[in-house]
Amino acid sequence: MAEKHTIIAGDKVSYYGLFELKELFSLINSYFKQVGYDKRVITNSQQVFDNHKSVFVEFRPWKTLTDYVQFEIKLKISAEFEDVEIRVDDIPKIVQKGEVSCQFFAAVKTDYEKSWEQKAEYFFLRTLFNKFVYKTKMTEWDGMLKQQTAHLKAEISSFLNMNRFTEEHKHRNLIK
Amino acid sequence: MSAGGNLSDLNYDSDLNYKGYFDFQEILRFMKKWMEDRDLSFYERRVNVKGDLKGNRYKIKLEGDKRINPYVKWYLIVEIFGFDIDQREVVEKGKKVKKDYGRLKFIFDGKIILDPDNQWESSEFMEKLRDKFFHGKVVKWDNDMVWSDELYYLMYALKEDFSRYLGMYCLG
Repeated sequence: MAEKHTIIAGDKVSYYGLFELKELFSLINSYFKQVGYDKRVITNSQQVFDNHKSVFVEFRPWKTLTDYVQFEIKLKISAEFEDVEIRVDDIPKIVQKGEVSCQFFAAVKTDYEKSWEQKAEYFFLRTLFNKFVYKTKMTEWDGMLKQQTAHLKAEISSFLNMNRFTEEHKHRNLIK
Repeated sequence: MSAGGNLSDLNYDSDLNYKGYFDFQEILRFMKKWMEDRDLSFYERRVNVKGDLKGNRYKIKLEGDKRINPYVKWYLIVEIFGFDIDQREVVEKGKKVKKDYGRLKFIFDGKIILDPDNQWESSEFMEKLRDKFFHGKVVKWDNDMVWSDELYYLMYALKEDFSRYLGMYCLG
């Protein structure tokens, strides 16, 4: 089994108000593409009710740094909302109104190919290497992943805050 | 027996859950057309149906396969589970139509078959040579980086196009 070193566990961003869900997902995908992560969506659930919709998505992209180290970010997004129409510069636009929350997990995986755990001696050598030889490198990798996850969190927060002061009084609910 | 592996062994499988209105026949047609447009042979295997398609639960397996070179074959697998399916009347573009309503779960997976014609199985020695030396050393990089990766992104494209077709907010 690969060794997982958790850097971030359960940091949350919550927001209530107007937002554009498709744009949010597009932002997340383009961020991961920009920093070189491979796409992976573990779960994509959508439920349509009479008066609202519910979406739950779990992203789990990964980035392979070397043949020994891999970064993995887990991002869980859940949203309960209804589609509403607002006017932006007199042009009608459909956005979502409701609650969205994002939870972040990040981990550094070492020996993800499981090459150093076939025998007890290999496992022992791997532990020694991780503790003493790669100690500085491990700290560096932890820092890199923490920075990338913090940047993603900041991007999502600023995106959601963009609509915080959008005028709501001229809207009509679109219930599908 | 041919060697190879499942993408799910590499944690590449993923699922799509949808609750709402849909047209099941159109979903099957969409899948079939998508696979045939990409030169995959399409098979529908109905595994377990309780009642008929208007009943409550069913499980259907769709497969697409493609030979990409004489040594490698791809399998794309889509398992569809339907729960609490019933027909309801909705108004669409001013007309009353009957549509299915219920919960659907789609599981997407892929498989790579190496040596699909079992050419290396003339003897036990050849089989071991194939598994340990040829797959383990000679074509390991091609298998991990090229063939598996291509199949993974093909599967991802199917998920994305299908999410777009269902009108889901998150594609993929």
